[in-house]
Amino acid sequence: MTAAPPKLRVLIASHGHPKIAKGGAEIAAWQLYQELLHGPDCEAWFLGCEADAQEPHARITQPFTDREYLYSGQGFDWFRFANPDPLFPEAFTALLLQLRPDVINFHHYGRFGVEVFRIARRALPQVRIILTLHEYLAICHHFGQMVTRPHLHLCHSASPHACNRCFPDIERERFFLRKLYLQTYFRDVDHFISPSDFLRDRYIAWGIEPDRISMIENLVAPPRTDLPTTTRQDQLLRVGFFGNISHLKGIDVLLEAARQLELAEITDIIIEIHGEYRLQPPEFQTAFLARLAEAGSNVHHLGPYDEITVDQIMRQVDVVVVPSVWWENSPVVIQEARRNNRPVICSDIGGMAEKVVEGEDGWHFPVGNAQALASLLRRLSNPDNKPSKNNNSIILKNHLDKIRLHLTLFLK
Amino acid sequence: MIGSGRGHIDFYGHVPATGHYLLGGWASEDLIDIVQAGDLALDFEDGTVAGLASGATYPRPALGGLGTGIIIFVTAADAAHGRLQSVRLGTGTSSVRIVPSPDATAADQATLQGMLGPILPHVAKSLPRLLISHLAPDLLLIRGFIDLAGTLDHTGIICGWAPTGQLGDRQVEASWVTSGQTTTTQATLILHERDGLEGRGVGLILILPFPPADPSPGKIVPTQLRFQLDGETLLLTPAQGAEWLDGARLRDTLRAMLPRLDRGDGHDRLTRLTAPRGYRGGNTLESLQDFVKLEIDDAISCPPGGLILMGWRLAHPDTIVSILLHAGPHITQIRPEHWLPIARGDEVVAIGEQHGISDPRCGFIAYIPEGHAPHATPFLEIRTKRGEVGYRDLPPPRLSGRRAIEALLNAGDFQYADLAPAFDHVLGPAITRLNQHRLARPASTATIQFGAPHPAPRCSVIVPIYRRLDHMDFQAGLLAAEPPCQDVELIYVLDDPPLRRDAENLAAVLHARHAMPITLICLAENRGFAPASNIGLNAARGHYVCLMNSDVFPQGPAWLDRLCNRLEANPLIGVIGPMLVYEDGSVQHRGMNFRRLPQFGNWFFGDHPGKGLKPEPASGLLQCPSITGACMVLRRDLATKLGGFDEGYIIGDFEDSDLCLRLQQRGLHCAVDLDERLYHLERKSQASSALRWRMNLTVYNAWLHHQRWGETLTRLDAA
Repeated sequence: MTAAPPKLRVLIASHGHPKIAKGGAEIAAWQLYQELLHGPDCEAWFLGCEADAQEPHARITQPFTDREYLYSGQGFDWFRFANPDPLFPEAFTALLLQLRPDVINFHHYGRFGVEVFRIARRALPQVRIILTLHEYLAICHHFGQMVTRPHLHLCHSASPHACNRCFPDIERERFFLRKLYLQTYFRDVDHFISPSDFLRDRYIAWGIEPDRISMIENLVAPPRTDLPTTTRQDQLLRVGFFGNISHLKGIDVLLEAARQLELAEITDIIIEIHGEYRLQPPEFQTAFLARLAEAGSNVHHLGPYDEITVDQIMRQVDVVVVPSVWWENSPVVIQEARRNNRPVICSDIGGMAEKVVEGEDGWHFPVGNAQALASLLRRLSNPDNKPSKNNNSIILKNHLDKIRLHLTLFLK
Repeated sequence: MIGSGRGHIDFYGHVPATGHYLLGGWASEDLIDIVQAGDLALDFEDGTVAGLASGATYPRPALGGLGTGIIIFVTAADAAHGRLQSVRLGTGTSSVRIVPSPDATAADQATLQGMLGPILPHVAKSLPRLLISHLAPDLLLIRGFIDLAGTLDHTGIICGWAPTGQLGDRQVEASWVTSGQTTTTQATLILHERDGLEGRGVGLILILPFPPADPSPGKIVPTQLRFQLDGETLLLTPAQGAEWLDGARLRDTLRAMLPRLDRGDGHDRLTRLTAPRGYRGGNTLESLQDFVKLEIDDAISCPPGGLILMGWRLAHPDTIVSILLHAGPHITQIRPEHWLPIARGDEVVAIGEQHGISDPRCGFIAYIPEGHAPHATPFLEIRTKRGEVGYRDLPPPRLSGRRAIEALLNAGDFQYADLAPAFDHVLGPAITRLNQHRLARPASTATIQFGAPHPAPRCSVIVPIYRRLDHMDFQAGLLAAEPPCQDVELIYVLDDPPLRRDAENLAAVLHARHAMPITLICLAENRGFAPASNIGLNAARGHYVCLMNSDVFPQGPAWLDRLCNRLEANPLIGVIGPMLVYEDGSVQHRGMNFRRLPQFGNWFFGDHPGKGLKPEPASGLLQCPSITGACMVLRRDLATKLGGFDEGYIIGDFEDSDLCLRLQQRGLHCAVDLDERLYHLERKSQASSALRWRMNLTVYNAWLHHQRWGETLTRLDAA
């Protein structure tokens, strides 16, 4: 009888912690950690971050379970992703020497700083360093969104000249140095994971060698089997918007489409808006409420939701709309729609268009084009064109594939 | 009995003021003795006047040997009446009678004077002074000459000389004639020994309570000056070339005389008058007759004994004759070549235009190399063409060191023909001194070591930091990620005191983050690139040193090792540097040549061949006249022997080519290794060169460089 092979020791490191603040990247990291923790192949630990914590008693603490660590940073250079905390390198090194992971999978490099890869390499020369990218932050200083300032036009490629036009106060040479610095420290990363091909292509164009970056979709919660399948009897087309209510998420496009439907006296399309608008600047909030009032009686703002309630709410709609006017990466909402067998209508660009196959599990419309969206909705409201549903078993398989793909990369 | 001698009386008259009868005529030779001294009786129609007579003789050739001219006088309080009948000379029996000629009549004083006019000079010595002083006072005058006259602070001064007089001071009543008008007043007279008279007389200085001329018709030397001196009357008239002086010239002339005057009231008065006692602080230029405006924005002490003045001046051309700096015991005239005109703004020029002066270059920088005393309160004396003097106080010194240098360099836009005069005589020497003084005090430094230093580093990288800590952060991160050299010693020299705490914190983070030893040297004052590099050099321990700017960034590892290997392989290479490229990969530096720039005095400036273009395909070592100090590697012992960079170059410019030229004097080469490339984001760590002072500082450094190397480079150029 042979001894079981030693388990792979994996540290998942995230720039946040879902128990403190929820964001797509944190949830994806946490989800992966949970899967590895409960799976048979790995020993897993989770290192999260808390920004500007109040008087932490140490740089790295364990306020939750004994496999979870929390780094409390103080200030951060979000331009160059440098960590000004002189105590972090020593604390992080000590943690690594204690856990001795075979693999560290960083989700994001915010809060840690890009030097974290070098520190890890110094502490554990053999450790495999995987970095999961969640947006275009290394490429674009504008919140990694690759839309221009101040007019929010789509941006196709960064350069010192182009970035300086968005940020006139930041000299071109600083954008040059930023890239030189990030790329220098990215050399310590063994492999990159991109949640979409679109994002992967953008990073390859930016300078990451194609064989160092793979596409694996983010893990989301597996499909729920405990919810009843409801069948509605009405002939209405219920359209759901899920997410933060902001300009870039395309809320203006959706409301304009609704207004046009109202003008056309269409009454069999109901648009539900789920999400929070009060995180936005006051002028946006005022404008949003005004547009909402103009959009007509078919539009309902139903307020925020969370990842516990999302499945149930989503199952009340016929189709999920993702009208974002920026590229998106790999929107969680699309995965949630898929998980709940809901087709998706999305803008025809970036990480959205990639995830929705036209005619199979959804439809594309030209980004920003409210008229086109309104026409599409009218077409779908015809009972003959009712959207199809996905197959649950395929979705579950996809979920398991993602875990397998991660493990394959970890072991390489 | 009456003698037989003969003679005649031609005229006679009574002088009431002196109580004398005076007679003139002739007498035969035998009567002369009696005439000169004897009893005399004058018989008039109404009576006789008798007394002891005195007389004198004088030649009258017209008598043809018959006799000689005589003048006789006798005391007679009152005049007699009637015609003179006869004159009896002598006593008792030996008397002689002379009769008046038929037409001789009693003359009044004016007639007497007229008759005596030609005679008196011959007989004056024998006549009583009192009598002469009435009849022909001029015969008693002592004659002297006026050399110059003028005014000082509303006081009149007349200088000259006279043949006699006792030295010393006295009060006299003086009268003088100017433009036909006679003025009389009390005056102080100083008699002094005067050069050039050789015992023939004494010098005179007369101090009058007011000018000896009415200023309105003009300033004229008096045609006559008369006063009593020791019982004599002195009459002074202008010597040939006598001059009217006032103001500064008069003061200078009198000051030159002062040492030879005896001490006394007169000396004191002259001392007070000629001392710049007119200066009582403030600005007296308003009181000048001519429009003169002189404003000083800054007075900058230029040790050891110099002063720099910056300001503006408005006056009609030629109004101002000279400007002198008074500082303690020193008085120094500002020389024309030390006066640098500067274009001034419209608001100042407009003031001039209100007074008919159109002078856009009415600003100035004046450099007075010597004559300033450290603790004196200096002021300016402005002398005008009219001879007037005005004073201008100076503001207390506000600027020194680097700020003073900046102010000078900010003052003007110097190019082409303006350049050499500006720098050769004013800006160049002044700034050189200011910089020397600035750096004379040894630098105060604090050294903080982060992490244990390498025991024997191969190379020390020395990076002065000014302003851009973000560069230090980027650069250290890039050097740490890809070590340039085995056992590198990284020395940062912070040349920016306000950033000290930030730099210390950053160095601590960099050390923690990169696990790399760092030496941080903080300077207590900003010193500039050359001094900061030299301080780093003194602290360095590597066999080689790499002098590096904070805006130079590596593209990969081990480049410094390879550069050191090049030096090791060829001892004739004194200094080596990599090719430097901009962020787009175009050339920033692949060796420097020298080029004369016509807009900048045809001085030599560093020229970067191929700058801005993609590098030509070439590899290996390229020998060149000079390489940039942005990144240069040399043996530490050699660098130390050379004393590092020359600190005369301010902030950072030309010290690199100066070092390269000194190496070449020792027979060593400069080389660029075309196989090594680093980024150089040039000039971003220095203040923008759009600033005027920064631009002019480059010109200053070029000037200095040209002073030292102009001839050498010209020779090389020709070769």
